[in-house]
Amino acid sequence: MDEEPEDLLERLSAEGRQLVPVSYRFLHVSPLAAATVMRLVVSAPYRASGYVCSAFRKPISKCCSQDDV
Amino acid sequence: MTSEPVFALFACCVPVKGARRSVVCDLQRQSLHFIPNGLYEILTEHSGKTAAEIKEIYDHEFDAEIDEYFEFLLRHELGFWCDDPALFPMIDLTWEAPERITNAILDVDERSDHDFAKILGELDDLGCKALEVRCFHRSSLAELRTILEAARRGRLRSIDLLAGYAPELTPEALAALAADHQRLSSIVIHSAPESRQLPPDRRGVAVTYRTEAVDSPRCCGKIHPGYFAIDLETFAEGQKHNTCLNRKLSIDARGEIKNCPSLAKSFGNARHDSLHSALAQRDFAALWSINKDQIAVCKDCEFRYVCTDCRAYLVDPGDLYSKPSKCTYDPYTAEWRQPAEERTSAGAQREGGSR
Repeated sequence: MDEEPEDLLERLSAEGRQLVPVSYRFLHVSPLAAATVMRLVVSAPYRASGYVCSAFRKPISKCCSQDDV
Repeated sequence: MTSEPVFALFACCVPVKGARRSVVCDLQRQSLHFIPNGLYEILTEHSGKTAAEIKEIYDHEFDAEIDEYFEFLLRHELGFWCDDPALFPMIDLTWEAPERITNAILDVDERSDHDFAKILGELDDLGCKALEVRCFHRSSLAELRTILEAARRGRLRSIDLLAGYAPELTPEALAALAADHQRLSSIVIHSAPESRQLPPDRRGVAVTYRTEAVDSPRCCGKIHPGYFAIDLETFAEGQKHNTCLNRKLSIDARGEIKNCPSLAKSFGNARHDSLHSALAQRDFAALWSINKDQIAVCKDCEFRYVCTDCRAYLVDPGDLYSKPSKCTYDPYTAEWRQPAEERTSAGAQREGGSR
């Protein structure tokens, strides 16, 4: 690991920083830390239920249109 | 061992064939990658063969395309070259769950008279881990707190909250609600004056304001990519079970216990019947095993294992195995229909159509 954790955080967007704490504690010692954290941030919109690890993955009901927001 | 390397997909990257195109579902990164059906054929029928052998099979007519295909798979980190693919078996897609009920819907409107403590306690007994509370009316903060307070104890892991807009449901008030009730995993406020997506808090709880009104169960059943669940659990469940109704229990606004609030069949009323007794009725699980491979049109769709089905609003209400009527995707052309067409076709629907 050749980066300080602070440098890594600075590379993330404001939204990315919101997502980091869950993984950061163990990822920051990995040589793939930067790539992995960035991938988590990039893939966040594609997850069904945000970043809550314990959340149910699939939608329980489907009442909202796709283009309202 | 082969002398030349062969290509293997990562076990979490599973190809699914559609009528016109296929996808590789990356169940670890929760993403989809479209591929032509020719590449699907290479990845399945010619799995374990070297690139040279595959090119030979196609009489060297598509050598450049085959190289491009493998480059695409490598670039998107969907697979790798290896000497012995037998060392990398396919992932086991057997689905099992210890809970008798994994997810539940609780509908609330201005006339509801639910005993929230009783309902939440019984759901807890059944092992339910995820609950969606849908308040169709203009909801007060006090009312939401009352519902959530009943869920404060127990084994529920997540609560999705859908509620009608009221001026007191400010971002700050909802943030405080989420902080106070840490099982909340998402909050959607419908009928809001303007659409707004607030950034997720530190736990990842997103608050969304939407202008569209969600004022009855008839609003449910929409099928679009935003509702795809690209994860191993849903993908595995979808192989043999219905991805919407399997292990689901619903209580509509009048307290009727159902598979889905949009279906007509009731298995009792939560005011005087236990959820256990409803679940014990033979027909309760009848719809759980309708999987996408049995449903007309859906069985030819490349999204069939990541799409969370709907059995309430059907193209043919008399046919339990017909396509969800609110799905505008045509797998034979690989196109989503325009919303105008969607509105036209949705006009023919009726509540409780699948029974």
